[in-house]
Amino acid sequence: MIRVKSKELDYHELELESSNDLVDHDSRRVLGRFAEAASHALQAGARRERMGRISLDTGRHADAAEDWLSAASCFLLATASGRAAEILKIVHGLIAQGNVPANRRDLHAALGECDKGLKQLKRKERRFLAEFGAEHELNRPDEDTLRFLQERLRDLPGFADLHYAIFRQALGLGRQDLAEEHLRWAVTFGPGNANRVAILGNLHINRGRPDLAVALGENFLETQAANAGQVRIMLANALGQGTDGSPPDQGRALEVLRPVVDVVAGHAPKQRVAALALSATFACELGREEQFGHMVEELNCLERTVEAVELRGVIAGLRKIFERSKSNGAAGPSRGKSRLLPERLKVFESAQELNVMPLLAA
Amino acid sequence: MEYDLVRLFEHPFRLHRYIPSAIVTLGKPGVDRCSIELKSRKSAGDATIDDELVLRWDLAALRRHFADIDEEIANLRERDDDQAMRVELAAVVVAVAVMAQIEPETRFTRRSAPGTRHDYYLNGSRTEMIEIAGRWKGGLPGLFAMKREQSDLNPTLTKRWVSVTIMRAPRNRTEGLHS
Repeated sequence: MIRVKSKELDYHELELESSNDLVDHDSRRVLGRFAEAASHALQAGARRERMGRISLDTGRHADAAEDWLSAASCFLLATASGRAAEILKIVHGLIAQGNVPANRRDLHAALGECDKGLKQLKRKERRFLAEFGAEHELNRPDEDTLRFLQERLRDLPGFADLHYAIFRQALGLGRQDLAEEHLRWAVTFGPGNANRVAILGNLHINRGRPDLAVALGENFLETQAANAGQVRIMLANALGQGTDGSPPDQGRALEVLRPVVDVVAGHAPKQRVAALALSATFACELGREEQFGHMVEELNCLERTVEAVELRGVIAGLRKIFERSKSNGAAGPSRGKSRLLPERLKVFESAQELNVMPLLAA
Repeated sequence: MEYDLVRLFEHPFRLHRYIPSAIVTLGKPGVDRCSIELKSRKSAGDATIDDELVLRWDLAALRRHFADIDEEIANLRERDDDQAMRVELAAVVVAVAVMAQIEPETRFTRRSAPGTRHDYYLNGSRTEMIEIAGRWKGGLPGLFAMKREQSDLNPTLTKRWVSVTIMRAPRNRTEGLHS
């Protein structure tokens, strides 16, 4: 009984919050703030999805279908076609099992409309990708292309690829603030893309906001620990910089990097080089001689085995930094606090460059 | 009959967000009220009543609850690309005002989503809903008939309403379709 009561309370809270989200969506969209509107619709969809689950758990199947159709509509408003498709599949299942009464013609009609809306949305996404690919040179940012992309926001608000394309164009045109705004949206609407999260983290670091980079990275790892090499490297980089209020946290950075250092499979050679270089730096600064030696030895192995001549050059450069540091006696903690490697910033920059895919190809 | 837009804050969720759309759609700069010709019916069995509803707004009072209101009104006055949506949002404000006159205890408690045949749930119930539509110009009877047909698709509701507004020469028709 208590359990049901609590679910009812949860339900009413979600009902109110999702209503506010939808009103926020409308009031942002009418002002032409399409991405902001889409983010509210996405939030509304997530809440309505949970409402549907509660309705189902309490045996109210038609109400669950109604809530989920509402969720699907919200996801369509946010160009979240994948999430809308998942929900609609569940509603089709409920109807196939006879759980939605035939006299709820509104729900049957709404399902048909949502299916149609999903098809139209997918068509728009495909058309955008084809049009963009055919008519615009990805590698040559120009104002016309940027305008073309911004005009697509009305039809595809919340489409992560579109926001990312705007980011790239704006960056190429030197419009840093616009670029950052759309990279943030690309990450908001496509939070599972490790490359984009790493680029945003690097942007935070380069703009003197390592604390935001740390929060972004830690949050990503909480929800997606696998295939997170790029984010781990970005996060280690941020942790290694320290924030205004706290010194570099090399110990945590080493922990974060461990999966990339220890597991060869699944990590690109560039990522492993970046992870090993950062790990060597942190081990050196913490006075962990053995670990430092192991990292440098791993780098030496990679230098001998990687095929790309360019990468071999990068490793050779990093190795020289570590040799110089060692001969200058920089390694090892001084009394009370860790000593910092004199050329650590060079290592960080190298790691950043090795870590993310080239912007115009990602 | 008069309705002050500050009363939108009486509803449990953020309906006041639609106030800028209503002010821009129904009022010129410097104007603080708008008269709407109203045709309403409380339920299918009641007689239709012709009346006039005056919406009024005091920007100074609204500003106390809604800090961005001036900025949003200015932005909406500059934009004309989303007139259809702005008119729809204004129609929601008109519907809330009309309902406050014909059934004062009614509260808008949940926003529905596109495709579910009605726009709002009322009074915390799943079986009381209202469908709302707004157009800049056109015929009220045709729009009303279209929305009534849409509402008819959900016969499980114990109370259902349709409220439609034409904005250019403001007129509204709101009816309870339940018996």
